[in-house]
Amino acid sequence: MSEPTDATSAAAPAPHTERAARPAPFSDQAAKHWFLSSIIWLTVVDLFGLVLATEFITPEAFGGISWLSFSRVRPSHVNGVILAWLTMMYFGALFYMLPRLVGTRGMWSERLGVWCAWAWNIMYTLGIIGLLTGHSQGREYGEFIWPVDILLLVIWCANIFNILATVQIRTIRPIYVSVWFFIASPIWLAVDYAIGNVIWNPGHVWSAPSGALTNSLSDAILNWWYAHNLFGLWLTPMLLALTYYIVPRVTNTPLYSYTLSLISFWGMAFFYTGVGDHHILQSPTPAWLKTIAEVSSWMLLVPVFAFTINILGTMKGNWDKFFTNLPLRFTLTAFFFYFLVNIQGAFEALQPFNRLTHFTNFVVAHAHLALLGAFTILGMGVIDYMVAQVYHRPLTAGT
Amino acid sequence: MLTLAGFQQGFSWAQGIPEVNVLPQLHAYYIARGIFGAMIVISGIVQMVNIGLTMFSDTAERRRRETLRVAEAVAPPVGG
Repeated sequence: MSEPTDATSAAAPAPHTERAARPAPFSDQAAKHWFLSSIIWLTVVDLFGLVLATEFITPEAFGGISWLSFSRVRPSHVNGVILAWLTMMYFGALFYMLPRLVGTRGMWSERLGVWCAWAWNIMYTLGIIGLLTGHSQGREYGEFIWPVDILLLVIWCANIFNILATVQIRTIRPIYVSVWFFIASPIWLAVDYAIGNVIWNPGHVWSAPSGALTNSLSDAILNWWYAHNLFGLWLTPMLLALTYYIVPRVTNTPLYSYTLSLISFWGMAFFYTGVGDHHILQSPTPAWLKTIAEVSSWMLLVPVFAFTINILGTMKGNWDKFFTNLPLRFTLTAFFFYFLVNIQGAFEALQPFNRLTHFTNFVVAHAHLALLGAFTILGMGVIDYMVAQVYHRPLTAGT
Repeated sequence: MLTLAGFQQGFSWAQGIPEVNVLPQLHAYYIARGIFGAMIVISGIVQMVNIGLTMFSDTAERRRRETLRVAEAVAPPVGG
């Protein structure tokens, strides 16, 4: 673990000693490239969202501009939030936290991480240009065309290799729960992305129809299995991993329970892959699949409660820091929204409730509560924390 | 906000009201969403500016000077 510089608190000024002037033991080059890119993408993808919101108010606002039409901006917004902003922020946090948790001075290859960050930015730019010019696969959350899918997977696998190699050369033998997620989650998502985008079937490479199963009902099931796994196997586990790091670190308190943290890990691994079909409960998919989706959605509350109790237990006696520490305040706000969105999601996955909310703005609200309320707010806190630590100075405005 | 809009849509659907008749009611919600969306964009820009200023200015030195100034105001150095 690093020296607690506590750069975000307003308490004491950093003393100008020789130790403070010494270069940092961690280079954090890879982490910097990933999370600084992410913070720029955030505004870009938010602007896409604002264009969409404007089009809901006045549909003719951007009339005539083909690349600002709803059907092209919507996938750019959705894919951007997940793959440009949140994924880059998560990898930035991962490349920052992993060396500190496994006791190395950096990633196995910081240079590889930096290259991957640039490649990822190029990949996403290409993907977004493709979407805005109408080159789309037309499957929700899997709109990127085949070449972009392949490029994404290559970079992703390079990152997985970097992570596994770092864990391999670790000096701290026990693996903390965040590292469990850091190892598993990228692998889960790589498999999910490859299967969900049907990459073995490129079809018409530059546009639809491509990357789909020939049986459209099977394709819908596969599509939603993939789409929910984006959240269940990547975004949510990484939220847990980052919270498990930030809360004990900032409060300087050991995690409340290691057992509970493992329940949250294995519970998520076991139940999350089954929930996909709850997106299409009102369609002629097999009844047993719907039942599995509903039961899995409710069983997910087990890891959620394990996680909640664990964080509340760690925060016990530390709540004063909620009001004085900005990253912690962001993290716990995200934690609260995360809990809320899971309760909401569990009800939403039930058929009677779903009959009411399906095809309405309720679903959109649910998605925003998760991606904006939980993941994005957490990202803000984590970036504030990391910038202060990486640059060894307090934030310009940070309390 | 969208949760409320969604409930309104859902209940109207359940009552058999055609969706096209619900749309005018939703307009106010969509305006609110647009305003909140603009706020999100602005906060993203604020975050970007904050991170940028932190990176390109020595805030540690600035805070040290500020603390020193306050300390000297509270307890002036002896003979000063």
